[in-house]
Order: sequence, then structure tokens, then C-alpha cells
Amino acid sequence: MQRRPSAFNANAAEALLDANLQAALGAAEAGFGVKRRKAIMGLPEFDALCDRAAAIKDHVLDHLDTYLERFEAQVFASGGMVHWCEDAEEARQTILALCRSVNARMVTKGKSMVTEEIGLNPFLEANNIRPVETDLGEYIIQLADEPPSHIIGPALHKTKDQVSDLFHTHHPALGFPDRLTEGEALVGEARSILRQQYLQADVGVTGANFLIAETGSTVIVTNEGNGDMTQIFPRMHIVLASIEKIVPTLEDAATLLRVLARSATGQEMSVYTTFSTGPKRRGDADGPEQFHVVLLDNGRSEILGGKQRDILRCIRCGACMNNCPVYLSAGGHAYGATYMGPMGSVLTPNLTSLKKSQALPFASSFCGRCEAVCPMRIPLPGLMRELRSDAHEQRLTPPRERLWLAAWAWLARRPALYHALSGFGMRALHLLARGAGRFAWLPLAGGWTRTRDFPAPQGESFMAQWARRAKTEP
Amino acid sequence: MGAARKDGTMSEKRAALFKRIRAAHAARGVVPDAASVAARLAAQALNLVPARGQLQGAAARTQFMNFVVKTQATVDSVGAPERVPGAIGNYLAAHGLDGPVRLSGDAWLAAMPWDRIARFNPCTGAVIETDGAGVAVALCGIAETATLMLTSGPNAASGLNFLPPTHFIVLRATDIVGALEDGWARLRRGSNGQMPRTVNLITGPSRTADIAQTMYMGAHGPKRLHVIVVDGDA
Amino acid sequence: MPPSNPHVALFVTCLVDLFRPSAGFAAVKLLQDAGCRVSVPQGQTCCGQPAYNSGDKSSAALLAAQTIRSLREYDFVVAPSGSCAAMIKCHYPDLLAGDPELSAQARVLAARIWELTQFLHDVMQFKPAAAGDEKITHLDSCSGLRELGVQAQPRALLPGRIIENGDGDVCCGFGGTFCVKYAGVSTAIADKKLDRLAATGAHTATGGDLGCLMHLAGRAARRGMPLQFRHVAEVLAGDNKTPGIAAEEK
Repeated sequence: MQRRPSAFNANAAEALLDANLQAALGAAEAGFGVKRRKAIMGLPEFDALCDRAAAIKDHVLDHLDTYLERFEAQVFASGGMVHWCEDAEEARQTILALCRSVNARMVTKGKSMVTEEIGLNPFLEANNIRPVETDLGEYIIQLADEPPSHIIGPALHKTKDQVSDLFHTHHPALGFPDRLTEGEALVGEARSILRQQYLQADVGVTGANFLIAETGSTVIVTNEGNGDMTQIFPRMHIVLASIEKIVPTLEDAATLLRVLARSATGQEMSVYTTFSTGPKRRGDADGPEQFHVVLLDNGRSEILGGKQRDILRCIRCGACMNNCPVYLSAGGHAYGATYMGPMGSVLTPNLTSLKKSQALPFASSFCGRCEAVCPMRIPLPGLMRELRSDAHEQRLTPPRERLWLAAWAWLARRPALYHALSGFGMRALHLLARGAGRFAWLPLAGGWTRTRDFPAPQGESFMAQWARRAKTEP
Repeated sequence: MGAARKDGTMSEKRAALFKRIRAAHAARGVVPDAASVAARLAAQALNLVPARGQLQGAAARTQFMNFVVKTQATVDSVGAPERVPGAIGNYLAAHGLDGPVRLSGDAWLAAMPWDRIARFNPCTGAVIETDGAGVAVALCGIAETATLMLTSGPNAASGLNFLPPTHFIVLRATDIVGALEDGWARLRRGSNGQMPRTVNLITGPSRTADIAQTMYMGAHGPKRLHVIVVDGDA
Repeated sequence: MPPSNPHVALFVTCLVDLFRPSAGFAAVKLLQDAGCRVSVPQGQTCCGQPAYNSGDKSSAALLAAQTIRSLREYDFVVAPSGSCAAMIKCHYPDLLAGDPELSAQARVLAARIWELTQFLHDVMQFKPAAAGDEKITHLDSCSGLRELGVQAQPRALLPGRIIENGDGDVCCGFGGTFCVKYAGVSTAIADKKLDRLAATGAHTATGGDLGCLMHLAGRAARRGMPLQFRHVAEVLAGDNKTPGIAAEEK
């Protein structure tokens, strides 16, 4: 797999031949789909809640500056600090400086896509600070040195045997010499190893599902409890979050939480939803001594003013990819980017460059299922279509495709010529098929006929036949 | 005032970011309206609260008890606080588990007769890795989803909710509320307007599906969550 | 009460025009049987969706304007395709938003355009004569399903004949130019769909969109599957002589 979006097609071809991956994607389609539907059936107000949730985020986006100011003031008031970063490099440097200020050698990490976005792990490693992923899925892919293949199930593509191999490669050095094959035992071993890390880490880094303007709280949602131990035990808790994660009040957070877990894993609530506000208070039994919120722009402020703003409502539930026929065939790595599936196909060109990632918005059949399941009412196909339009206008699409499109559109705008030529062409094609009803190969149609026969036309076109009838039956 | 604010480059970056955001608002014709934002923040208005979150009293209690089981946790109710240690002892014995049983510093817990289960080593103080179980008190239980709200403080370590493999959460029946919003109301009432450092919303025991999409309990946090609802303590 | 003898324009769609006139004639027959006066405006070619979805909005807008002009004078416009009908109904007004006069005309057309089965069932309250009793399975194509809400209509028009194929809201992988641009993924999606269709035991699969049908029929033929594919209009009109899509002529 190549880690660039332009390789989508080659990556997908590789993915389609990977039987393990295909089995995993099949299980994801069935599992996520059934659980989500069941959870939604248990809440008659679900649709109305989605409307409210989307309206909350739209409101925040319209007043993002004011809400960020309030959030910042509340973080200061509770004893924490806020750091503003324009891009990935600034965020990396800010986090490094914070780690160095406490002489950190090891950092535990809660699951965070935005740390993937800024490439935090390789950067910390290059600066002699060891990052340890604590979410089991992230831990597995860190051992495998791979990026996440799904925003909420980063190791979704790994089989149990592959996990067993990875653990047996890396764990003997940590005093766990036996090869384990049972899932429960594998989970137990990771649990034992990571416990030591939580307690020894100098800094804990988490992301945030939400930032509450009213209170200056950051919110994480997990099922494992790893994010909590990441932030409770080390001396310093660093939260890295992008600026659009703001939610006005605790009440608003309640509305968003009601749609988040149901859309993601099909749970009514995730197991641990944790609101963190400032550092440990005087007299508190535990908690970090320092609390830092690193707020990242990295292109969001530009998206905010443009036609793609709706993507900033995304709460990273993963429902779009869980229901995307393309994602469920190609898998997450095929996208060659931090974010995958429909939301990734919109976000990647907006966060990086359309030139380098224009393949992604085209990697959709526009079936519309992503939009139908999105709890934040993000018109994902519409946003992808808009990006296709930008790519077309900026002449980023392949010249051959543009030529075909132009020729066809030219002809289709001349109905008389179009009907005359197509009437003739279809008759010719029909004769060429010699009654077989289809072609196994056609010149210039290799994209079709490599995997499919091409149905032959029935003969004369409908319009030609109709015109003749109209003449004979006045 | 934090160091970050004193830092000149940081304040420049901050100003630049706000400038970009305001330019984006202007590009869309959005008019800044700080007063309405302030009003919205002050109002803390409810959005849509689902019907299942609007139950109260006995109905909320019944739903809470029913829903706890759906979260893979277990639940027990006792008629008086004196019976809590016994219920915990029974659970540990029935599951073949050992102590020590680490109690939070909560005064209500401290008043319970823990000597009745001395064989499980009930103790207070900082939670450590070798503790067999933790006992914490919930601020409230939320009937909508069987979620327990726990707050950190001098007598309540958040780590107690995660480190021991067995987690007991003790809850007054009168602290069962309908929706998460009712929980926020209680939280605000008790905290003089400031959030505790940590608010944990806990809905079942720890789990993971990160190995081949199969659910395993006890990923990092507790493998077992047992909720004890205490009636008869108003 | 259904409208009496309305004047209906058939927007035949480019794929039916070129590849499967039998579906067009079946649509005409059904509309006439339902009591409509049917015209086929000669100024029509393609709705412009391929250009629109390829990012070429200006070509799409020119074709939209041409289509609007050709379909102006009718009580209703009916297309034997959920995808083309949805393009006209749901996307023309946005596409032409820059031109107030055209976008107003687009909204008028949007209110008049219908997918074939939807028009027959919802507007004309038509009950076709039972045309055979062979069990079939039906594909809900995505645009018709999600943008127009076409789902119950074909089932109501073919009572007792449809064997459901499971997750009917899952795409077949066609997606217009997507099916050649990303042929590998498109085909993989088709294979999953074909396996579900075959599992129903039906020998015939119907659908309301020729693009999806040609894509699936072509793949099924390549795989040597015995499944036959037909436009739902043909089955409704009782045409069981025309060979299925991609099938050998008898």
C-alpha cells in the first residue's frame, strides 16, 4: 500500500486481493450495520436529535471565534493553558516543548486521529521521546508500524493471528515469552504491559471528541478506559484538538453524545465519557499537575469560509465509512491519507491539496448511503461533487477523461446530430455483436470490459425507431 | 494568566488565527453576535431530551436497573447503607475474587461497617496496581442509558475507577435521575459553578473490539462493574 | 383521482435510447395503458448527469438548459430511470441557480418529473394486467431510492412476484463513470450484489435504472451466472420475448 491518495486505484486493487482484509471488511459491514440500526430503533427521537446536533455545530461554526475565546478563558480560569497552532509543524513543536519542559522520555497516548494528522509519533521518536499508544487498536498498529485503517477501529484490518504474531515479535523482550493465540489472552497481555506504561509515563496525550466552551472542559469517549489512565497518572496532560471541536454547553454535549455512540459502534453510550477541566485541584486525590490544550487550525479556518464548511460538523463517528461500499471493498489504507471513507475523501483534499488527492472525491459511486447515515447531516456526495468540480476547473483530472467528456457534451448539445450519429452507431455495434448480445472486449472500453462483458445495443436507437413510427403513423 | 499568553509569538499566532476565522465569517456574510452567544451560554438550555430520559422516581429507578444489565454490568440493591459491605463481600465470594478492596475517601462509604468483610481487606488511601477491587460513590445514576456520573475530588480519585479489575459503584436510589441533563444540573448545584477536574460518565465495564472485531471485556479498565443501589438513605 | 388523459413526455434517457429501446417502448405502452397521451420530444439527449458528476458543471448546465427547453410543454415528464429523474428533480435547480430564469423553469420541471414506476403507481394509480407469475428479484437503485423515495412502487406494481434480496439499500457499484474509473472496486461491489441476487433463487432481476442493470448484467455474464436482467418496465409491460440485457439473441 502506498501512502498517497493518488495511488487509490493501485492500493484498492491490492486490497481486493487480500483475503484477510476482505473478511475483516465483511465483518465490519455486518457488525457495524446491524448494531447501528438496532441502536437507532431503540431511540424514536434519533432523527430529531441528529437535526439538533447538526444545528448546534452550525451555530458553533458561525460563532467560532467567540466560542474559542470563551473556551480559552475557561481553560485559564481552571488553571490550564491553551496553545494556538496554525499547522502541523507548530503543533508538533508545541507538544515537544511541553514534553521537554518536564524532561519527558515516554509519553502515553489516547486514541487521537488529529495526532495522526500531524504525524506526532514519528516526530516524538525522532526527538528521543517514546510515544506509547494505549488504545488496543492503536497499540497493535503501532507495533505493526502502520497507520489506522478506520477512524474508530484503527486495527480493523488485522486478524487475530496477525495480532498474535505481532505480540510474539515484540513482547518477549518485555518479559512475555509465550505465543498467545486466544483473543482474551492477547487482550490480557496488552493490558499488563500498558499498565506499566500508564504509571511510568511523564506525559499523557489525548485528543478530544468535544471542547466545551461553557466550562473549558475537554471530552474524550472510549470503551477501553485507556484514555483515562493516559490522562490521570502522568504529571502533564496534553490535549490536542482541532478548533472545530467546540460545543457551547454541557447540554449541547449531551445531544451530540446521544448520536455519537449510536452512529459509531451502535452503543447507547460509549463506556467511558470523560470531561477534563484544568489540572488537578488543590487537595485532589489524583490528576495531572499540568493541563495543556493545543488547538490546531491546519486548514480549518480556510474550510470555514468556503463551500466545504459542512464537513466541519463531522464528529468522527465512522458511520459514513461503515456504510460505504467503496470503503468496505478497498479498506482504509487504500485512501493513502489520515482520514478515509467518505469523510476522508472530503477532508483530505481540504486539509492537504486537491492536486495530490483529487482521486479521492472521485472514488465514490455517489450511492448516497453516507449522507443517509451521517448523524451530522453532512451532504458528503454533494461535497465530493463540489471537489470534483474544483478538480475539473483546475484541470487536475486526466486529459483523456476531459477530452471524452468534452466531445460527448459537444455532441449531446446537438440533438439532431446526436440522434443521427447514435442511431447509426448503435446499429453498427449491434451488427458487430453478431447476436451474442454482448462484447467481451471493445476498443476504448477497456475500463469496462476488463472485468465485465459490455451489453450490445438492441439495434436501432429508440429515438430513431420512434421518429420512423411517427412518420408512418401520423 | 498563563505563560502561553505572555509568550509574544503565541499571542501573535493567536491573533492570526482569530483573524483567519473572522475573515471566514465575513466571507460567508456571518455577522458576529457575541451577545447572543453569551446569552446561549448563560441559558444552558435543554435541547431535545428523549422520552426515555424523562422518567423520574420509581420509573427511573426501574429503567436504570434494567438498562444496567444491557451494559454488561451487574446490579444489586440493598435496603440500607450498612448492607453495602455485605453485598460487596457476597459478589467477591461468588466470583472467586480477592481484595484488597480500595475504598474511595467518601464519607458515606467510611461510615459503613467494612469490618464485616475484613477478609477482603477493605482499605482507603491511594489506589495501587495490586488492588483487587475499587469502591466509589456515584454523584448520580442516569436512567436514560444506565450511565453513572462520578466526579474527582479530595475524597475521590478518578484512578480508582480504572485501575482495579473489579469496580463497585455505590449509588443512592434517590440519586437516580432521568437524563444526562439532570446529571449536569446536579453537578452544577454541587460545584459552585466550577467543574471538578474529572467527570467520569461510566456505562458498563471496560471492553474492546480491537482484535478481529470480537468483544472482549476488561481492555484497560475494570473487567467487571457491579452497581449497588442503596434504598432507604435519603 | 388520477389525472385524466394527461399529456406526458417520455424522457427516454440516453442509455435506454441507445442500448435498450425495448425498455422505452415498454414505458410508452405502460403510460398509454395507464391513460396517458405520450410524446417523445426530439430535442432531448442526455440529462447531463455524467458531466455533473465528473465535475464539469458548465457542460452539465448547458445540457440541463437544453433538457428543460425540450420538456416544457407537458403536464408530466416521466423517465424510466430513478437516477436521471433525480438529476432533473433534485439537482437542476441548484445547478442552474446562477440563472434566475432557468432555475425558475428548473423548479417547474422538478415538480413535473417522475420516475416511471413512481408515476404509474403514485400519480396514475395504475394497476398493470398481471403479466406472468415468474418470481423475480428487484434492485432498488440508489438515486431513485434515496433521492426520490422509489421503493414501494415497483413492489406494488408487481404484487407477489418479488423475492427480496437482503440489504436492498446497498449500491451495486455502477456509479456512472465511477464504474470505469475505479473498475476494480466497482466490480467487487457488483460481485457482492450478484451473490445476493443469486441467493434469492430468482432467474430474473429487474431494476429501474439501465446503468446499474448493464453493469450487473455484464459482470454476471463474465462470471457465467445464469441470471437474467431486465428493465422493470419490460416485465410490467409483459415483454418476455426480448432477450435480457447482455443475453444472446434467440
